[in-house]
Amino acid sequence: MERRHVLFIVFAVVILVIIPIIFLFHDELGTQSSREVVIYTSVDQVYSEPLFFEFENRTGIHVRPVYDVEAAKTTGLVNRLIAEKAHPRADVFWSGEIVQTMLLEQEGVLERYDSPSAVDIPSHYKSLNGSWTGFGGRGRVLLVNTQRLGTNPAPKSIYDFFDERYPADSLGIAYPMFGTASTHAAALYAVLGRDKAQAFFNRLNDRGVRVVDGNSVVRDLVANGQLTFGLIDTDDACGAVERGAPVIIVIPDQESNGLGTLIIPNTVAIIAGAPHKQEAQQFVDYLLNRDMESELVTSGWIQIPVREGGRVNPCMNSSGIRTMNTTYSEIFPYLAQSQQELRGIFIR
Amino acid sequence: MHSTIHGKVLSGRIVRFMILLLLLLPIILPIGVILVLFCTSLASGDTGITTQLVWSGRSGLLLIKSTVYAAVCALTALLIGILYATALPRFSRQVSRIMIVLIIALLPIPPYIHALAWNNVLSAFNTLISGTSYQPFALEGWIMAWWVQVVAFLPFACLIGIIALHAISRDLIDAARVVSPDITVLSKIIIPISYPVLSAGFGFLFLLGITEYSIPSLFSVDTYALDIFAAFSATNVIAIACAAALPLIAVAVCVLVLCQPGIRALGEFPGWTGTGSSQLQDWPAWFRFLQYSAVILIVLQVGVFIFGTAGSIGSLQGIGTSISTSGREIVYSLEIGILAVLIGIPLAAGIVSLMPKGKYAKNVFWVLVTLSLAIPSSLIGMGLLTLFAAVMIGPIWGLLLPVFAGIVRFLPVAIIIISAQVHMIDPVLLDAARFLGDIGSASYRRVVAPMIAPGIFIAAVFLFALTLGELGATLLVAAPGHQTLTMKIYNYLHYGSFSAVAGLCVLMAGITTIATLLTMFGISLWIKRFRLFGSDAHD
Repeated sequence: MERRHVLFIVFAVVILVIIPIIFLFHDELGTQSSREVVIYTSVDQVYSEPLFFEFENRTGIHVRPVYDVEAAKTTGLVNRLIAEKAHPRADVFWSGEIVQTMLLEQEGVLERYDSPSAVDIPSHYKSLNGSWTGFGGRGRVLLVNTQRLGTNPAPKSIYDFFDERYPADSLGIAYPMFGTASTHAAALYAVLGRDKAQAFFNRLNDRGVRVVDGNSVVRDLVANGQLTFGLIDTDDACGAVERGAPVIIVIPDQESNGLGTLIIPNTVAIIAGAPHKQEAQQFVDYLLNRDMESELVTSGWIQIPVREGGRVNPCMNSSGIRTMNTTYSEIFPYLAQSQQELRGIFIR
Repeated sequence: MHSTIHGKVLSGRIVRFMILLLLLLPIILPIGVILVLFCTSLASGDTGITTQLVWSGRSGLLLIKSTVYAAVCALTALLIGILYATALPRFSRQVSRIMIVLIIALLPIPPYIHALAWNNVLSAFNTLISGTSYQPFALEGWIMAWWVQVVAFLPFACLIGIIALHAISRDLIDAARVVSPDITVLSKIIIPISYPVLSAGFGFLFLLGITEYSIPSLFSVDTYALDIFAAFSATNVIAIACAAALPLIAVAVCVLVLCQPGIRALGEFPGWTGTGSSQLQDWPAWFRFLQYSAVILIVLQVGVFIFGTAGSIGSLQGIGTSISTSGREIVYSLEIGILAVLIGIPLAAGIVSLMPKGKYAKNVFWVLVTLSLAIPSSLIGMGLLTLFAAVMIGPIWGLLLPVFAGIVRFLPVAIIIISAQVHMIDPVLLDAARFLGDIGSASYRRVVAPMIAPGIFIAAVFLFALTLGELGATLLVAAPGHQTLTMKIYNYLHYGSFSAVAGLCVLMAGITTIATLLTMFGISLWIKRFRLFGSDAHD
């Protein structure tokens, strides 16, 4: 091979490979001994990233996040954590919901940690063995397009999906086998019992209610007027309100004898065998701080603080919400069962 | 003496086979790990797996529907792709090149973005006609899902069409045109001769379609691929997801076997550097109408992508911000794409050069090679994680594993393209090159390398674009603190920041366009330098 060819290849490798690697990994390659924390999170980047920056500025600990995406259908980070169990890379798991964290607890992926920042968090938002702590919740709500609603009254209950005044193809839910919709389905199993819950979902399917790929899709379909109303999370609903869509948020089943709605807290946990345990504890303390919960309410990620007297989101009145009469430990055992059965109902 | 020669031949074959196995390891290993996990769980009598393996009417019907859906989508897209390819010669050389670059730019855009764009545009159209007597589009159901899936396939289908039809020898076409009208030449000569590429292309599009669920589910259509994800989500057990995926993999393998004659026959294919079909201009009116419809459809697709994402719901400021704040993601994605090409293309070229010769061995080889296209991406990711979880600490693994994810998933495409190019080399030229020197010698490089260059470059563009758009496996193996543009796009989608999504999609399209232009420039430089083809081969 001629010398100029060798030089060309060396030049190309430097330009195409070496320089980008140095650009990408310069901090990791150069500061092996510096403090860092690896955080796996299912919280949207737009909400979590500012918090990571603030944590870095306060503590000098570098945050390396791994974000989940809704399209992975909860087969993403949770499976990654299970697969990495013997050789963990993550230090902290910050989830936007609770049952996947309980699954990780069951799989022995999490480590006990009692954060001093969590003393004022009610005990039912904490794991019995201290593996995780819940904070700032999101609720399941109905997002209603007021223009599409016309002269009909706004729905008040999840049972209004069966009201003939609303055409079935103008109503939508996310597939109840994935994400927070699956947690809600498991909660209905826990509260109504298996038969009634199954009947509820069978009726939804028989009526022809639209079942689509995720809460964000339901939100978009309602916001642009393709659907009259749909069942989604409060953060999605508030996003649509803030973007000026002709929509209102209805918290379902709030009458005195009503079913109530499900509140799904964020959860944070330290990974068993975490490579940066001390930094992980610092981050968990930082995240569970009362002020941080208020900050997350302000940013729009959560709407329902779990602490008494927490800041309220202006997007919706979340005070005095009637919640479903169940606990997370009652819901969790129904998760796999409801997912399997609903798969048979909705995917055909 | 005879036994010594026989022994040498045999040992040579064994060495070739061992090297081939070694080169195939990146594909075989993750799939092997998944298989081992599945077999271990099955042997242990895991009830979850045995339940999953029991064939139900629901699963069967879903699989049939998904198979028909994928086949119809692939066939429709391929037909439009052929029409588009035959229409290109109607335009000037510059316009044709722009039209090719246009479809290549759309390659890495995730199918879901196309679906979202169509959904938004048609929804806006429905709003526009709401006061009139016209019926609005029903934005759900099989027809809508079929349409959007077809238009999402079009970039691939058009390229397949171009590769297939622009390869026919000019002499052959000239001879046929003496006795038959152009439309007969197309149906009786060009299509049958292009069958290998078209058949392989159909197989590829079918596999993309049957493993895809995001577009159908947006339009309330259930597919078998979604059912696999539901099984995986409900259990978080790889073996159960694998059991759920088995029928789909079986269908995919059947289709691959059916396409095998086509893929194998790529060896007898005259090559795609010819431009014989470009002489065909004398089409009947109905065919010209179809050609122009195909061209309009591509332009429409680009328009819908622009207006459906950026134009209708985004803002220029949002687009600008999303691009300016994605420096690390751009570099990470580029690096993964470039490394996938730098590692994958030599690997594919090596595998092609060692391809087995026997009929049955070839069949096994092709099924093995193309199998990874039929396996859900998250399973491939889990296979890689299981393999490398113990050693993947450190920044370099965080870069290499997403590269491997792209290679495992899309190396088959590169192998198919390069094998077609390698086998089209005139054996006389090849013998001449061998006579002049061994592989690596200047004379060999001057004769053989330029002849396979177009295939290498096209395979590189495909591998780069597909790796850039990969999500399911990359998500599981990406380095902490780093994400690809595709991962960021899907993260922003959940938040509902359409302007940011549009900005990132435009960015991906821009990156692929630049890569393509550089590739075209590289091809023309290479060919000009060696000037080994006839004048018509340069186009």
